[in-house]
Amino acid sequence: MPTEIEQQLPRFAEALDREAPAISVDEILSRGTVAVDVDRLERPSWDQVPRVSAVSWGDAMPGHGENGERDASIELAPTAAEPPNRRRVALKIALAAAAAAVLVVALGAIVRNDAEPDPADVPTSTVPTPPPTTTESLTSAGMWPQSTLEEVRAAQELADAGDPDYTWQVEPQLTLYEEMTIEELGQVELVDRFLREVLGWEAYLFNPHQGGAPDGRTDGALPDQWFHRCAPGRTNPLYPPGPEPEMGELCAPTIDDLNYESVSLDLAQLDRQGLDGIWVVHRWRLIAPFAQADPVAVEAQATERLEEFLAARVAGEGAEGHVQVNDVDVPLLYATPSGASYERYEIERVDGPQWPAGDMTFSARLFADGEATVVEQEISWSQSGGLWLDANSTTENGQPVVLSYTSSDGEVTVSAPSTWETWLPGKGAGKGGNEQALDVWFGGLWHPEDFFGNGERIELVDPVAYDAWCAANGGSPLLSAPADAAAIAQQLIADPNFETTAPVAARVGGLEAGSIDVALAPGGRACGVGMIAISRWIHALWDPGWRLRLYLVDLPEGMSVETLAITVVAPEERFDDVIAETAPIIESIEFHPRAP
Amino acid sequence: MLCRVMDRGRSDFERFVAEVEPRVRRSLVARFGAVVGRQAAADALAWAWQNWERVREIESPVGYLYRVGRTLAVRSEARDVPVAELAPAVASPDDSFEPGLAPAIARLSEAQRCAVVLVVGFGYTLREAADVLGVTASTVHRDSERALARLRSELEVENAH
Repeated sequence: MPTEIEQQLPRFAEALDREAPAISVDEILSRGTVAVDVDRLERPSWDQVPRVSAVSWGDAMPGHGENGERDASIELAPTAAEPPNRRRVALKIALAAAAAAVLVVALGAIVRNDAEPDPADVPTSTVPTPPPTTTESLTSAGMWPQSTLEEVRAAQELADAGDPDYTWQVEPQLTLYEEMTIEELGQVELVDRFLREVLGWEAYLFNPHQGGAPDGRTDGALPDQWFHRCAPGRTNPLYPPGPEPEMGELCAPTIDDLNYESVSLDLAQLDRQGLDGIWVVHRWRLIAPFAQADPVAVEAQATERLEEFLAARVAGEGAEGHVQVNDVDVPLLYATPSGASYERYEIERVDGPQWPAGDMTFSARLFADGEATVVEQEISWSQSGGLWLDANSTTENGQPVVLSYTSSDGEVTVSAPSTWETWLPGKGAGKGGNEQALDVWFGGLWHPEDFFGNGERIELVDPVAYDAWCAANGGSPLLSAPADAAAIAQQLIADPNFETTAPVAARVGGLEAGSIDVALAPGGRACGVGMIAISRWIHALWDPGWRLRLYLVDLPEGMSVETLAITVVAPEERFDDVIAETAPIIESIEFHPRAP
Repeated sequence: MLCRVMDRGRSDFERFVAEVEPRVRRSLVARFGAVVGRQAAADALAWAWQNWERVREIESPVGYLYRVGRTLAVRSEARDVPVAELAPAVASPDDSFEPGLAPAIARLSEAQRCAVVLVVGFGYTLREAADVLGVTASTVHRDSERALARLRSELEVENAH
């Protein structure tokens, strides 16, 4: 049985397709009238969640029915299913109603009690301070809701027996996810109850950017979890909510425009650790107010640094070291691809500021040739990391520019349009967590919108080393023995797992090579190790419906790999287009043997 | 003449369905499960046909119809049939995925479940999934990565027991 999630998910998806097969036009047209109030279309629930966290539930409910049902203006034809079990979903509906109501309050869009002013319309200075809480004189304390270990043990027994007064303290998600997440209404009931019942906070926000265990996670303990109090019914005055607001945008500070009342919670399983162990607040303490960054000040600082960088590029010197950039030098640092110097620049903020640090992204435009040529790049600013340039965003007059990359061992160079991400690490490095064949030389180019190792891509790999790794990790090796390009091609052609074309002569990096097209044969399997993140080489064909062009080239003395496999993999329907698109990239490959 | 116009409209709609139906259906199935999700998709597409003149002008009809279907499913109050409860229904005869996978997927948040099923399961690009779900590609990426991490963690936990 496969063990890797990435390998199993497509099969799970196939099962979904079998259970919910395609809907024909006839089936669609046979359905009755369906009416929807398009002004009230559901938004993704994860857009609702921050509002729930940030706005008082009590404030959210007015304007809706006493039973919490929503104002759903919809008429379903008789063909639509009747509700299967209204009582069973009552709680969820009530919660969804609260979420929907919060939407209303937060956006001020649909339902409002005209007799009451919109809290969001009240000037900051006149917004009343939230009412005093039970913690006015209490800034820290110990365990809750139990107060002794003996009580915790007793509570665990009662929870095990199914006593609802205690089962709510069982929070399997905290055990499974090994982190605090507040993504759904009342997701962590222990925290929710504590903040409301003990601290008297009507609305709150979890801050994943702060706190946490300094030395990694310990089982059954989530120390120093930071929460901030939100002013009920108000959105963040410094980070106005966008169309898809983030949590911080919907939470106004309670002290002033910058500072939040804050608490740190230590959560723990003090009796039994594991999925069925109850959690308690082990310790808590009110901490110094958390200050969000003032986006205006952040932008001023970022703009100053960015202008220094761009001015140096226009001056033609001194621009090095101003920005971080991944794996490559800053593309077109001082001149356009044709060598024209820059004459002036413009900057425009295109994303952000993001709560809480005010991180933002700019588009920088450098003009040359009397405005006829414009080089554009995206540059991000973060308080912690300064300026970071996205080399892949580089365009010249709106078109991607060709960037050159060299492997870390210096043996391979390749040039590709900036629309491709490139990873040419040489031996012993890679991406994707621990799923690495660290002794195998491999590199790759892929589109940024795809996962690394997923989607259309070009990969360069040592096939012999990869095959050995595959065999050592429980997979089915392709090669019976170390082999050169011709022998590898013959073994591949003879392998019943694959359908292949006849080998064709090709050239790669000025060397003679062979190329064949490969697809998975019906019922065929590749490798089988299931480590998809490194499914390079022919094993990229684990998915039927994809085709692969394989170039095999024997490399000269002085290279760390004797035979290199270069694969271009794409869905069948896109294969010819992708081959045409990638041909210049393949042609650009150069090899640089080390001197003997 | 009227028949020809209707035929032409139906022909356009057929092409439209061929293009958008898989993503709308799969997204709603990922969210609500096979039965309710497919029904919601069919209703959303029926609504599209009934409002064809308007829908054909929509720039991103897949995302729009996802929201229509989502609204229909939620308001039918049938939304407590999560994808996770597919586990018995889609028990795979060839053990192609672990029995615990479907329940584990169901326990993900809605955002994470939709992202990981669409991107890793169905192989949509981040941009395609983002178009449907009405979020940014980076959000889909983040949600999918978190979902994968949680699925790994959860299945490891289950295996360990």
